[in-house]
Amino acid sequence: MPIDDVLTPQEASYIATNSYFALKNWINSAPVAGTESLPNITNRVLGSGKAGTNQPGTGFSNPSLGKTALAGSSIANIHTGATGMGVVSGFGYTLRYQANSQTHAIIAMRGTRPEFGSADLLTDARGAITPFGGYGPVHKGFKRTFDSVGASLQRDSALIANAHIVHCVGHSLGGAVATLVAAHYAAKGKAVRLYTFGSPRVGALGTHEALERRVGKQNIYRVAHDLDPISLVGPFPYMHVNGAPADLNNMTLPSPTGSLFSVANHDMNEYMKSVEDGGWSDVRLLSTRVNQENSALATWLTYGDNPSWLQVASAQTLGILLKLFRHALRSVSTSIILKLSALDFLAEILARGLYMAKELADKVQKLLGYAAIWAGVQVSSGAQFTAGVVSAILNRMLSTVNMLAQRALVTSTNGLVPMPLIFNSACLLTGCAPL
Amino acid sequence: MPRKKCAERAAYLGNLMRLFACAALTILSTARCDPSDQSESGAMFFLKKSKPDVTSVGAAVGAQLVKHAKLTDVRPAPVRPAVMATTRVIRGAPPNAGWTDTHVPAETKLAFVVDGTARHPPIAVVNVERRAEIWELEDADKPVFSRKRAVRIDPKQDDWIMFSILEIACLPNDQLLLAVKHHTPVRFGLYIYDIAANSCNKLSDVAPLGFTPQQRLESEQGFYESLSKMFDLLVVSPDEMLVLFYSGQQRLAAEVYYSTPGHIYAFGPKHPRGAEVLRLSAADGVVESWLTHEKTLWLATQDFRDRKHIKSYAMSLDLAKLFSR
Repeated sequence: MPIDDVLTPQEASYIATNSYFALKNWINSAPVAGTESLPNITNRVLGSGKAGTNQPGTGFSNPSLGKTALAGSSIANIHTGATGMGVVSGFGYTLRYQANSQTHAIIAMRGTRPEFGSADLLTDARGAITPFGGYGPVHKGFKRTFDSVGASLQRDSALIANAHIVHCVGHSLGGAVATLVAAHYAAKGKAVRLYTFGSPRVGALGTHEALERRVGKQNIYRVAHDLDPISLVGPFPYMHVNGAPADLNNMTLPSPTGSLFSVANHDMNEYMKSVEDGGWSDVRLLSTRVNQENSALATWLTYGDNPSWLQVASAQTLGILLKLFRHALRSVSTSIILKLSALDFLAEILARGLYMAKELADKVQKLLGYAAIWAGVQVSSGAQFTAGVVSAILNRMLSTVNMLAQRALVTSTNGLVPMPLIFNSACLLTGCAPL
Repeated sequence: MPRKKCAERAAYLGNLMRLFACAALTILSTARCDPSDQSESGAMFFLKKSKPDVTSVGAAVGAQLVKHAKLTDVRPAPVRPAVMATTRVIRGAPPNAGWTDTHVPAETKLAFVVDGTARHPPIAVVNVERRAEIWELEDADKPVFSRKRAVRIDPKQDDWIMFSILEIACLPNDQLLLAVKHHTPVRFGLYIYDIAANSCNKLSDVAPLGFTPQQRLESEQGFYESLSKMFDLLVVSPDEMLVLFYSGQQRLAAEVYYSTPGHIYAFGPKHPRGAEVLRLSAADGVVESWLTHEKTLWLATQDFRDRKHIKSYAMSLDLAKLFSR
């Protein structure tokens, strides 16, 4: 079991992966609205893991818990949830596990499956904010899905009430919903552990801090690849729990594609491969390899005033640009900025009217110049950056990130055209200041 | 020619050249810009042109790949290799470690034991905390670790934050094929360890085997022990064998991958370090089944990138020259 009452990275990653099998016929890669049969879910969660033809990621890792210390657990209930315009489907399950006279309830939530239809994507797209208990504003689409799963979770109320620890696990949309489930039970006084992989940001403004206080920062295990587009969507004022580089359980890992900004960095299969080899201390060690400083890269790429590596609106150069901003923001070094990406930073200086501020370091000014070139925005030499220029840069960055986010979620083979993932936009923040 | 007309033509040609240059630059700069492309090379500067993905036969084979309507009906009896490795579950770290029965991730590790020969003692390739080690054993059946071998898997090993051995196979000439997983970020590689010389060389990057939908269905029925494999072996004779692996993956959709290109290497007395037999392009599919009959290699492959239009192929390759003594 969980060592020190915490799931191992392998267990958590397997649970996040096999939660998808609650969706009807996902075991054969042809999901439809509905819930998979209990024997099939049991096979994929605890059994041989071979039912059906769909083996995640060419079958490299079989995510059944059958060969882990959780093999002795049992499925309490399968959960349904509603996404989009009320389409109901299998959304996860609760496991019961007994060890050392303690009862553990493990709640697994699945992520977006676009093959299933536009319902899941519509949930991701519903980016307005809505209040969540005493925590503050959260993403409306995630909150609605949480509410719909709530009825299903009620069937486990006795198990959860008696459990010593409630573990909440999810990938992508599942990570966002698991965050709200964890917050819900933490508010009821339960001891909670939260494990998310590639989760988008859930809470806006101060919500992330309220979540961290109630659940406990040490009980939140947030794993994300550094260039996973989903973890970047929903920029400021949305904030990640354990979002600061110094947070012990902010396990931002090197992306499997290296410095390439790629949709593949979001796949749960890639997360499994990244974390399944050891304990959380090993995952933390891996996270130290993310170059937060990017100083060598910055020196190299910012040499001279005519950066040849910049390509207008290319997804790849955006990845490099974000790394450069990360480097520059660290040199500005304020506590709030250290938690932010370039997207957040631009959104924040717009929201707070800081674009004219003299405090912005020269490096940031220079980088804004690069960003303007990248976005194809004309700025005359030596001119101030206006709200309109920053807004245009941010909109271009967001549209590129959102495009990648869609591609991370959407299969290319079924011709499905998803709803645009409009989590936020610079226009909302600035009142659409013209250029 | 009037001067005005000359100037017009020059301007026209200049514009055409500029247009051509822009088009060429655009094509070059976007050549490797597919966000789903996971290859490392070209990730930064995008100006590297992709090599054409074609099937090719290794120079040492001296024969052509022949396509057929179906695979041969002959099913030769499997050949047992001269030496095999045994997988053990180990608790603790050598030299103070013991065998145990059940593998519990995070509590136990896997070790691979190879019998001793006249040229070397029994060897154990052992996964320990965040790395792997190679130990000499007093007896292949007992966990008595006598000496740790000083060997580097890879010259860049110091840059790996952790690594482990996923599986091994015994190759001819006292060599081991090691499938290594290393961080950071996660990568997989195939290495050849020469037991007698105590040296290790990289064969290739490797991706998980490209199992077809039918093979996955069969795995549920118990035909496959595990889908977690990085390579496959075909024993031609006790001291000659073929190794199949894939050196990359194409991401077809979220969580859906296609292993390609495929590679087949031959190992034997004539090619102790391995000779490339075949490179299989994505369009020629992943290997569903393979066999050798009278020194001819037969392959059944499937291209299932489009699940609605799966293409199946059968092909053969004469290996008589490759395996001649």
